[in-house]
Amino acid sequence: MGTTIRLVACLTLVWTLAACDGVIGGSVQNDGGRNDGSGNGEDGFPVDSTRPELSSCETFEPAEPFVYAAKAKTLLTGLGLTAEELDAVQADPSVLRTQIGTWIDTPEADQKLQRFFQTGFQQDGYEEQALVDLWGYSNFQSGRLSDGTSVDDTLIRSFEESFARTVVDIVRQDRPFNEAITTSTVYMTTAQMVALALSDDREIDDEGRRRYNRTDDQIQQIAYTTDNIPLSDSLNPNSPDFMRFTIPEEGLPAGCGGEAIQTDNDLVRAAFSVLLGFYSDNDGCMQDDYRTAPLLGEEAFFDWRPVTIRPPATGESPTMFWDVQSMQGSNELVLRVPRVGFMTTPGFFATWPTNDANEARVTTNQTLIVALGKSFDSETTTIPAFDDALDDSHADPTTVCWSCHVNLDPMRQYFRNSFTHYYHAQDDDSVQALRPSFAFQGVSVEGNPGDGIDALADTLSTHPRLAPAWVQKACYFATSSACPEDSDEFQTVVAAFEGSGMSFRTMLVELLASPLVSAASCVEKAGGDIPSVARARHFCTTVSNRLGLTDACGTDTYFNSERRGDRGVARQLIEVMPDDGYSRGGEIPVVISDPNLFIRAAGDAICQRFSQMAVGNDSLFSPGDPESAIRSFVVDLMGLPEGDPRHDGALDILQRHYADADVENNEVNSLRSTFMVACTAPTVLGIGL
Amino acid sequence: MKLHRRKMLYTALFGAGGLGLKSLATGIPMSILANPLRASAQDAGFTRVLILSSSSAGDPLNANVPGTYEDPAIQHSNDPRMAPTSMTVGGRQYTAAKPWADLPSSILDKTVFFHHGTYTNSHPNHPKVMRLMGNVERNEMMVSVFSESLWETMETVQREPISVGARSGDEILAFQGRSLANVSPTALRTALAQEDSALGDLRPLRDQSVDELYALYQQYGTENQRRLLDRFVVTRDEARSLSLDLVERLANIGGNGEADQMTAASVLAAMNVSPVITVRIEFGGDNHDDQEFVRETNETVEGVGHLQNLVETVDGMRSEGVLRNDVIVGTLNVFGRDLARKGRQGRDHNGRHHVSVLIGDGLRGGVIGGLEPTGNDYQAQAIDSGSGNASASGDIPHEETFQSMAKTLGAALGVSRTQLDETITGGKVIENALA
Repeated sequence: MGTTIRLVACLTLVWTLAACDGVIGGSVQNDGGRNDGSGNGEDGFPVDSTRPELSSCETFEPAEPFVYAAKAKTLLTGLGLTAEELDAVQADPSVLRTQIGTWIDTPEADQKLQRFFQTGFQQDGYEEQALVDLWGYSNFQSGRLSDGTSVDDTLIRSFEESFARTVVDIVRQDRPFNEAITTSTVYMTTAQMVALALSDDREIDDEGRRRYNRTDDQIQQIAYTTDNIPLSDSLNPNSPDFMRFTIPEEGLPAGCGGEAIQTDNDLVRAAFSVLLGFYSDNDGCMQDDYRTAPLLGEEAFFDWRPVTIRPPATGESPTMFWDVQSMQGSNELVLRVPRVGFMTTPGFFATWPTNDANEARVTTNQTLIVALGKSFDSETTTIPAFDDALDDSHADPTTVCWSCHVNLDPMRQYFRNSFTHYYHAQDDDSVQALRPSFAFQGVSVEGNPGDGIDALADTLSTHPRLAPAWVQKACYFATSSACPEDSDEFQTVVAAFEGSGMSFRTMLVELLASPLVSAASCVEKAGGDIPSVARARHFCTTVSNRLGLTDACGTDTYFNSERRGDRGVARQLIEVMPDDGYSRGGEIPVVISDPNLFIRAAGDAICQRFSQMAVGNDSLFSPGDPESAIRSFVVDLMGLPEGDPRHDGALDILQRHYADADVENNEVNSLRSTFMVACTAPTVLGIGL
Repeated sequence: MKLHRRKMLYTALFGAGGLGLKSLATGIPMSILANPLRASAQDAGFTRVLILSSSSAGDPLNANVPGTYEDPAIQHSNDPRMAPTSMTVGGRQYTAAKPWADLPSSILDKTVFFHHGTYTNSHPNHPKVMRLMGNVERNEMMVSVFSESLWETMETVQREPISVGARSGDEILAFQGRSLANVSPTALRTALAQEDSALGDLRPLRDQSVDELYALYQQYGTENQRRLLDRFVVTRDEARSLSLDLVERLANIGGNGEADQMTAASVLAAMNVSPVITVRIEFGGDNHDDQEFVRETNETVEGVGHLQNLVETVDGMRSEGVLRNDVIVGTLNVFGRDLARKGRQGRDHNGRHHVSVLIGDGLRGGVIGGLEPTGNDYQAQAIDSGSGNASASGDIPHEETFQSMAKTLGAALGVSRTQLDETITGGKVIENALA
């Protein structure tokens, strides 16, 4: 027995103990894998032999304003510099801060930041089924939007962007960034509100037992009728038409006598499904399930607004899912299940599901990674004051497991006190009797029995790691690599962030203007300017915004009808381009900065599709005016305004290409080919060039 | 004059592995690019492509292969499809789950079941496992060591390994400090399946213009910028050098599932894109709660089928002359799983026992190593390097069994022994596993 037995025992619960090193025995040598922020790849990892050492300032070459100002603007908006902006920053580089402030205030920046937050807050890493699982259903039964797009796909995907929109709003209003940890106000659509209200009434306990709290008793049957019944009556428990829904005539066979009945199965789910456009009876009248437009109305899936979620006051009932009329246009939702910060959204929960073996450890660890940029690490253990919630299997300090579990188990109790394994309301007194505690990265907080997610949010929101963690995430966004946290420049940005009352806007201005990103001067270990391949979201936004082509890659739209033709092909091709993301337990994002042959091949192919969208007789660029078109390719698409030292040369290259191509081809193809040259230029396919 | 697209491929520039153009693009002398120290695979006299199924799920593959049926305490599925079945490997009788035992003898004769540890029980440590848990020089990934060692001799299009099956960030490959983008089967099909068109005919002219643009940007760029511009040149030319004769074989790819990955991997091997290609085949996944091993059964049956199809496909392509190199197909997970502790209620992580299955020419069929009880489960036993048998007194301790598997695989691929010993700490090549 002894240590070996304990070691094996501790393996039983570690499957999603994503944090602990989980390294067994003493056989491991030089177990690297952490990033030291050198810009040279991960600590101890080899560096491409074709690259010179980057960590020294002796050979440093400063980047030019026409490169770093363009980089900042492209990162924020996808747009290129104007000639006026370039003139100004060349004359006085200190104006960059002001310029960045202006760019942050554009709608294009909202778009870029929303995608950044979506990934940074880990709201978009889920598979569809994982999100539906939160409701305890096998699927969302639903109909179709007007163009045939599935309603369930629309609803499921919408949860990806809910919290990111919330944080964009925080930035837009320049409110403290800590609110992202503590806020109970989240951007939602009416359809999401209805779904959350339903989820709130749907109880799934730790054992997986499912029941409805209040709704089930109030629905005895559901009727579908061709009578014209207002939705408000169908959903009003005091109306005689409660749970009688209008169905289009085409959905109800003539033999049904104008009405079909549903009395079996899950009537609450059936009622919810009708709101999503799905009808199914059980009296054999309707031969097939009928799918049509959602009764909620199509706009209910796109009417984004901030909604404050609060617990019911004494004697107050939570919002029922059929209170659609009161939810439409409302900014408040009354729910039992606590919804606080990024770590309780359906998007986050679906990305990081837990179970009775994992007991919310993965949820806790990913929460730390998002908020503080750190994962559990057996080498930096802060011993908590007590260990009520420490799992017995890992309670022996002599085992490899203890060093992680001694912190993680008491901390996961904040989640366990609020949520079941299925992320529904925790009502088990025996679970809530355990005291949680927080001991991480130098901060220790002793909790009280029953303390839940609110207490954890409070601790995280004031943790000293919050600011540096998000500066670092922004560094990855801007440079595809870590910034050296021990540098003066990094600390300056952190100080600005904290000193501004956690203004993300201030931090972003400071960072993008800092030599950490601009490489206007040397920062030790920062690696100088670090250009990268334009990853998928950057590339698509750049082309879309510079050309005014709405959603050129077809990746933003919800509608199938907008993903056809060249956009549809571009949408497939863009999957070849890498995009940013996080892996389980990973403190740093997966950021691909290097091109490969397939990325290059896809770049060519996508640009061909874009050329077909943008160049033609009735398109953005007319073959009848190639001179103007080519000038726009250089200035707008390539982002080389007059004043950029490469402008004239690029113009000459494109003009000659057009002339040479025109000899062998027709004018449309010649201009398209010229467009493709511009589209595959380094300032479109790359960032920081 | 219209040019046919195929005529535009710059293959002429890429004879001898494209060193001339790469040298031109990177500014690195050909003599350095062709450094014989780096091309040390040559002294092995042969080279082989590796197609490796790699996953951070920690599949229970280790629970059903030969070597795990001798101890009655070890739990197996009762499903008839997984019935314990007698099989002969390397001239010795074993018992294994039916899917493995049913492999044709032509495959079993070149199949090695290698028992070893991976020394971790945590999913996110998969990148570390790919680095042999810190036992590779400069912490490079094992597949990247192989790829770097083999690419010049094999004259592959790129020297980096390529992944077509990574499902999450921890399955992304890295090469010399750079994270490598995954190329899914559908992405591969889409990226390469371009139409012949008038715009296609203008491609050489465009490449010329783009080269001029690169030169313009280089003129005003820093060293770092020039380096990325070089990468754009190299990868563009790599793309142009691809043989498109095989592209039509990608047409049947319908998704990113395992069968599609097998198709993509075999075509990439035939295109001679890289010495190492990784895919992801499931053999039961993270099956903690897999009552009666239902998932394990289904996925093992399917997974072994995929392996068999892949081996037969590449063997067929080799016979047709489509593949210029032999291929070794292998498996490597982040860890194995418990064999007995939970009965048939599922399996938890086991960093002390894992089985890599290696199939291909250059390998002699057999079982290397074995297992022994530890605590209330099992671990890979020490190995006698002379025989390859498990032995309590073996000269390869449990703690070096992983490196031994890697060195044996490397030797079978054609990586020189010298380089294997210089880059991988610990472990020995098992000569008995080599044909």
